Amino acid sequence: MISPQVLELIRLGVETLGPLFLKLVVAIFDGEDPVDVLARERVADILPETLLSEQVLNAKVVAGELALADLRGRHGEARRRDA
Amino acid sequence: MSHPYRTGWRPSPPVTLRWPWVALLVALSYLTVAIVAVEGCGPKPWPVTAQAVIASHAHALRAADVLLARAIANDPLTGAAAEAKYGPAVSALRIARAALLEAEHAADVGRAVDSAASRCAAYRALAGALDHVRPLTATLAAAGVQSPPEVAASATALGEAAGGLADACESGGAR
Repeated sequence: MISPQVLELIRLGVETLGPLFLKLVVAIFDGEDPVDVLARERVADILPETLLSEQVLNAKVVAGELALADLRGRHGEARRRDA
Repeated sequence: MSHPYRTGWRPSPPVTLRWPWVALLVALSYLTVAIVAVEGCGPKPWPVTAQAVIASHAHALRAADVLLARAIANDPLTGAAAEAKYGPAVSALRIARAALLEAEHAADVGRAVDSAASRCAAYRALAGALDHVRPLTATLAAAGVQSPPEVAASATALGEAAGGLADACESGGAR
């Protein structure tokens, strides 16, 4: 039986490698040279200006700041109530 | 009748992958694809080969970016703690992207003006871009995640090979 680790690895492999392999296979079946196909791709088209990890990290940072502000707000409210 | 939860069945533990290991594995796979494609399809004009290598590296970085994003999203850390842990890795990815753009620009210049000097400059830029894999692996390791030493060693070897190519080109052009 295939272990969950291997299945996860295969899933990630298909998710990340899949589009490129598909493109190269289609190019080969179309009689195109895969090197020419790769050479036509531009870095800016493959990697966006704002990276996905950067977006997620920014969201996490903002979420953390909001949670901290919320906590501070509740703490202040509780202190006012106690006073 | 025995209780269904006492029949010896145990829930499987959550699947945890060391994501940089996977990311670097994917990166090396892309590199292998590029090398096979370049080697297998005969000689090409050098700017075409250089652009194909650059594009394959960009794909590898994109895969690493997706996996890094997933790792950040799955981590319960937020705020400054998340930034402290993952900020350097994201920054290293950005630097690697910038280096690839620079290498691409050098290849474009080489394509437009096919001279020995432009070729050497493009090789040097490519070597610089490949060199960024080394700090990238170090940054990922500093984020608290292990990567096998073989990966760092192969990244170093690759960077040195590209540097050697640039050195040879420059010394050949000087003669």
